[in-house]
Amino acid sequence: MTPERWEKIKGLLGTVLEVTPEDRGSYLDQSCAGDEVLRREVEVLLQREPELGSRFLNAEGLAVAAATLFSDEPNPWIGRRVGAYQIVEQIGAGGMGEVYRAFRADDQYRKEVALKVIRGGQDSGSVISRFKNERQILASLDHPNIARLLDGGTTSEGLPYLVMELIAGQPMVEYCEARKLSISERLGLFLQVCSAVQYAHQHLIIHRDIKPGNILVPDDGVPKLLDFGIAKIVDAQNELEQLQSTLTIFRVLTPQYASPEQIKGEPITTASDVYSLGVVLYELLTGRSPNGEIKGTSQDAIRAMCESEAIKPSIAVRTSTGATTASDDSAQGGSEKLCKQLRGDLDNIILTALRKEPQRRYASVEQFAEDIRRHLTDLPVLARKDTARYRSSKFLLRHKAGVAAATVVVIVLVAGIVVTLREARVAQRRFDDVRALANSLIFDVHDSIKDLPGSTPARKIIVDRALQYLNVLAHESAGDVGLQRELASAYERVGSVQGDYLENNLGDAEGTLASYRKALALRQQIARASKDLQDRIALAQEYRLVAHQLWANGDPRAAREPIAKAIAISEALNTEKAEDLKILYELAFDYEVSGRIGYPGDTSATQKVLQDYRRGLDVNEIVLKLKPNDIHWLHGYSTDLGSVGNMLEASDPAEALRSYQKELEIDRRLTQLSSDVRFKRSVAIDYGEIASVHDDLGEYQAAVKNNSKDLAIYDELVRSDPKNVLLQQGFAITYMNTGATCARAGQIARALEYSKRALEIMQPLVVSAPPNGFQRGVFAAMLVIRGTILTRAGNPDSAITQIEQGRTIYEALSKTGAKNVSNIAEADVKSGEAALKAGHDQKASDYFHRALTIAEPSIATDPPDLDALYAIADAHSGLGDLSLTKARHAGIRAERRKSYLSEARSYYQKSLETWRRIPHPNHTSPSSFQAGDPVVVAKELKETETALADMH
Amino acid sequence: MADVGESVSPSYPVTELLARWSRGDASARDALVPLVYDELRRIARRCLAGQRGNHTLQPTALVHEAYLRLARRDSIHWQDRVHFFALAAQMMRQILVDHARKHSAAKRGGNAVTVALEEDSSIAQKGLDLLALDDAMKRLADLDPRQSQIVELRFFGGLSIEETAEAVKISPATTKREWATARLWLHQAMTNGAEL
Repeated sequence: MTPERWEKIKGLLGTVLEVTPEDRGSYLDQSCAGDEVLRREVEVLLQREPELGSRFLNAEGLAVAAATLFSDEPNPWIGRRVGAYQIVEQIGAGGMGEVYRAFRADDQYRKEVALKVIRGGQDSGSVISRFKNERQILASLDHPNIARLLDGGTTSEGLPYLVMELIAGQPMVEYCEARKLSISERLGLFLQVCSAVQYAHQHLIIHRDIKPGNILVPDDGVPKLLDFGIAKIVDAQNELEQLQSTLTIFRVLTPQYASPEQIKGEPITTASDVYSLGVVLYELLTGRSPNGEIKGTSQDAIRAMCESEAIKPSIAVRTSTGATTASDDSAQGGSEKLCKQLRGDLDNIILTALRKEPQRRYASVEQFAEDIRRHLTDLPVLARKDTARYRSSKFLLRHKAGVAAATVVVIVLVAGIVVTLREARVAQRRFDDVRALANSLIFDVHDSIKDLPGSTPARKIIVDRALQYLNVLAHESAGDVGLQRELASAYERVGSVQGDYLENNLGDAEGTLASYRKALALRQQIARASKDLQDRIALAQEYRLVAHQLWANGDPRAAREPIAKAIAISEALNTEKAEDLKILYELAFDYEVSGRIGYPGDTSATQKVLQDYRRGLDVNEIVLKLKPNDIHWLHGYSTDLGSVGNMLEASDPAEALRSYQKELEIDRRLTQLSSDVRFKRSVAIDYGEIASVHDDLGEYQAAVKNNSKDLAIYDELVRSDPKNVLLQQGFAITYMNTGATCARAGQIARALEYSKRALEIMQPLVVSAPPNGFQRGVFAAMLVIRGTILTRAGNPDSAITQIEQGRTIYEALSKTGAKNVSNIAEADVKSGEAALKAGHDQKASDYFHRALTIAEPSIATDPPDLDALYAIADAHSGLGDLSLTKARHAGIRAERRKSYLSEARSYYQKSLETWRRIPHPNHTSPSSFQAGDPVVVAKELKETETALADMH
Repeated sequence: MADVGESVSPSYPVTELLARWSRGDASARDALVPLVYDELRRIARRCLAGQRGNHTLQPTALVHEAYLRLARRDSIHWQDRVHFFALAAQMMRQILVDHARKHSAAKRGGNAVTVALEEDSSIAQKGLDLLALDDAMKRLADLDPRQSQIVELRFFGGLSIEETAEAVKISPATTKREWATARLWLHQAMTNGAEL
């Protein structure tokens, strides 16, 4: 045959195949037009058609061929020793690895076990770490219908393996078939499986891969569920990826039993297990899969499976051909009888479990099981047929990736727990169950998602729920030290999630303080009842947490008392146990926080703060010599270096720069040692601080360069978790700082853009957040800085509006006790400067005088308030400028001019006197406001004096 | 000193290789072969170990799983998927036929190895002779290379009609016809080869 010939035959054949068999003869008569050879060639091939069937070259043939061909390749694992176990033979394989029969080599009884080697694709690192976390939890599952996890480890190649109870049984469906069990007998077995799954859900473990092959029934008739939670170990990495990408089509699982959300790569919840149990029950009762035979795993096939509804079990048994069924007689009558048994309740129960949308299935396995029990005892079941309304609305909510996904996980999980909790109470289960749940919720569930980008909303739900549990528990905790300890750390955890200054938080600073205070009250009770060292350390920590939070919420005075208590406890402990690293750590941390809080109202505050920091650095350096890569110590060290840098910035910028550079070096090392986002943020902050020193030194190019690095890191951080308040706040501050530097460097357009951006980010945070002194103060300062930039940009009227807005916030804060009168005065100075530039002479004068009135009391103290000094120096020089401007007006009388010039001279002199009181005059005041320059003031004074001299 | 790493990279990501291959770079294909081959072999061997119960073999799961595992290594774009499957299909064929050849050489007299299918298939008694299929496909390739490739993609790669159509860049309707006529031709060629 030639290609041309085949082309001709093929064309004809293709068309004939599409024609109905009756019409083929006449079609060929017509098409071949007497070419009998051609006709015969086509007919020979056409004859093949019935013989061929659908199975020739179908996909199953390929898999069977592959399996058979590879069957005699020797398996290197047989006879091998893994850990304490000797492998005997392979007994199974699945998406996650192979299962072997093995025995404990050092055990004289040679007890046999199942040993499962886990293969996690390429990403074995994450599999192993996941494995270590999960192993503990899985080993704690103790239920008659769950195969026990006995042991586990890592093979010499680094593959994780699990050792499980070896179950010698038949897969559940086959077991039922072999014994021709009745429907109710099958349901009885199934209920036992449900109890196993429910038990695991109460321990917050989802099976994820329930299928008949994972349920074995030994001769004693007690079914055992295998492989609990193992899919999670293998799949963990996958899931992380899924949160970021919507394109996950194929997954290593058994598609017939996987829930639609699993197949679509959406979050897996207890409801996913409900679905898989539904599939198992369907198959157990009808002998077929609810999704029919899945043809291939192509995307289309899978999509069809996710979206098409299952046929009612009662109808499925009637139409099934050659499939196994739960009927006890083989004739047609059997399937009719079965159909009757399934129609109604069982149809509804199974279809409820199989609903495509997780939230519309049974809310828990317990409910599913309860409905089956109701059916068995002829009570009305809760499951109802799908209504048209439900059907039409289905899948409207389909597939939202990312944050939404994380939220759904938690909502569904939490919903499951609430149901469980209620039932626990109804059944008068032990108090401990509630306690375990509250703990899991905070520690396991929260921790497992807290580092996921975009997980903030989900975490908020967890926190609210956890607080409800904790408050109930705290009521009943008196006299139970163990419980009190747990509760205290739970409150701490919740507090840190709510709004701890240092953690990725939800922006509720007052909530944090309340939670920390609850924890402190518990720690005090514990310390009274226990002399345990750990309890004393925990008490000191708690004092420090409360102090730190008070400071962060804008109340440093109140923070002094708790921080002093923390230091006293830690110093006493350090005297008792000088070499104890844990205590040294606490002590260093206490000093650091004490320094950061400062000594409001204390005359030697600066020295005391520096002393705190240097003490902290000393402790750090001692310990880091012993443990150079210790993350906690490195972190503490870098924080102290930063604080010292802060302290020295004004008096010794070169030394401050060195401190910051050292800090940057340490923080970068931390980012290499840990993936904690905090360290990345620290690096950003370090660049900002370095920029700030350069800015002070007038090295604006270097300042802008470092600020840009700072911005770039923040940009990345904010993108990865856009709801994180703390990151957004830092981002806004960085924008504003960079804007201010650009303004000083003469890059006005950039300054305007950055400062605008800063306010855009910050404003919504302030509006939505509960009163938070720190945050509002930052916002007010930003408004003032924006104003100074607008003044420079030639838009003084807008500047005044912005500055006034900042001033209003400062005033409101002042009424709640914030010590910020100097900031108010500074705002007035900036308004005065803007008014001066706008030519509103009277208004400018009013602003400057108001600033003087407000600031003057603050410089009467010893030492004087630095911000107040800057305000007064600038107000005076502003008034001097105003008088000088007036003196230069054309057409005024000489006498009048002379009087203005004298006024100006007097203001400039006062300004210079004030400048002399500032130890290290800077371009910016301590509150980061653009300040005047004594050199410029001196020059103006000289010009004024010259002008006066000329008049004589 | 010469620049390091300019000429050879030991580990191009799969995506990169697929992209280069689809642009016509034959060396990229050569680099992909061992990656895909190893993965397929491993999965295929595991497949046989079987699982409990009857619901074991996922048709074409081998190729899809190989895809999944390699794709997980670095994210393969949707467009590259078809290229991947085309390659995997070739590999699958090569692996299976090589194996079948080794088997047949090992058995006395070099009898072809056949794989039993289910009883209700008329060809079941004779089984599917992979060597005969390979031989028939080669002959088909002489007549119509594209049609032979379609068989390779559908059977060894597990691609759907639509995916196959995308891979060979013809319409799904044409692909369907090509596939239907190829099956008839191959069946005829395998059972009564001399006549064609």
